[in-house]
Amino acid sequence: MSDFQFGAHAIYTPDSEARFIERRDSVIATIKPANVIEAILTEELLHASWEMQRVRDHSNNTNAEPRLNAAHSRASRNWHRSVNQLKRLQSARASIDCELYHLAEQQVADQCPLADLNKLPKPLVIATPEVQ
Amino acid sequence: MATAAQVLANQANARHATGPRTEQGKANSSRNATTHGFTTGVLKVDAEDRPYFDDLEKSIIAQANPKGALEMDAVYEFRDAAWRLRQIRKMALQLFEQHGEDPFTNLDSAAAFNQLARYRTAAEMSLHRALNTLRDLQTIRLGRIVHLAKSENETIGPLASPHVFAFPVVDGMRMNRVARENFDEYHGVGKPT
Repeated sequence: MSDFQFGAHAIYTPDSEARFIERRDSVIATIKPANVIEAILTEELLHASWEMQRVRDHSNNTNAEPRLNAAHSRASRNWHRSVNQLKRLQSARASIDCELYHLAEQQVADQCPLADLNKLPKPLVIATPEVQ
Repeated sequence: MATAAQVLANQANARHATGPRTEQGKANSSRNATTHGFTTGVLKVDAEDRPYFDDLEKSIIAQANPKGALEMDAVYEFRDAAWRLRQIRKMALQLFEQHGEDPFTNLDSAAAFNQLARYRTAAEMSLHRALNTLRDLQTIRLGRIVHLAKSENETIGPLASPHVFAFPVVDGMRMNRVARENFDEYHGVGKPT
């Protein structure tokens, strides 16, 4: 999906807009989502990350403390879930690339930044010298 | 105050008001009480959002490559949850714009924001659950393909050519299957002492 709208409907003020855009670009550059499922989870992670930042921005507001705590818990849970899903998705993508297309580890590492390279499976198939 | 004659006339007229008659009318009136659609089983997609929704659905199906009804169900669950999360964020942004203050701290929007937070928690759970289920289903499918390929003579019948399974072609290259336990020896990797 080429026109996925990262950061759509995010809540920011004119003062914090630049910080949000910087965070959005940094998250996308770090994760490098390669398909729509990774993009949806990256979007979840981005919003969770930004909500945790918004909670920190309002941390001096003692009247809203219970609501801020609840918001932080929700955002934190979603952040961890999204990171874990992305790790599993990118590890699976890295395994497929290694097994079927024999990509070098460096190339896989560049394309799947969250993949755990230590857990790449040994390939089940190898190329035979000649096609008959 | 209505006269007795007016009351009787109103009651007589009301007997003619039997509600919508066409299927479309019935469908429309069934959604009269629907405000945002986060709690209904059927997803609510506005006409203006329809092209983006269709694009999202096509992309998810193309990427997930589901096979069979179960995988399709998981994909639809994932799609619905992703869409609901997007709509919930849209409503939270509307609250922010309406009150001019972050919903985290604005007391006027507290009740509405808490309700949105509950819907969001449910949608997040649904999103991750659907993805986990789809992963499990596809892992099971892959496992069956791998194991069937190992014993193709028994599983695909005596007349079928085992080479169909034993030598798949990937990107124009004929591939051969190597047992996992023979991999290190084949590639000259020394065993740890």
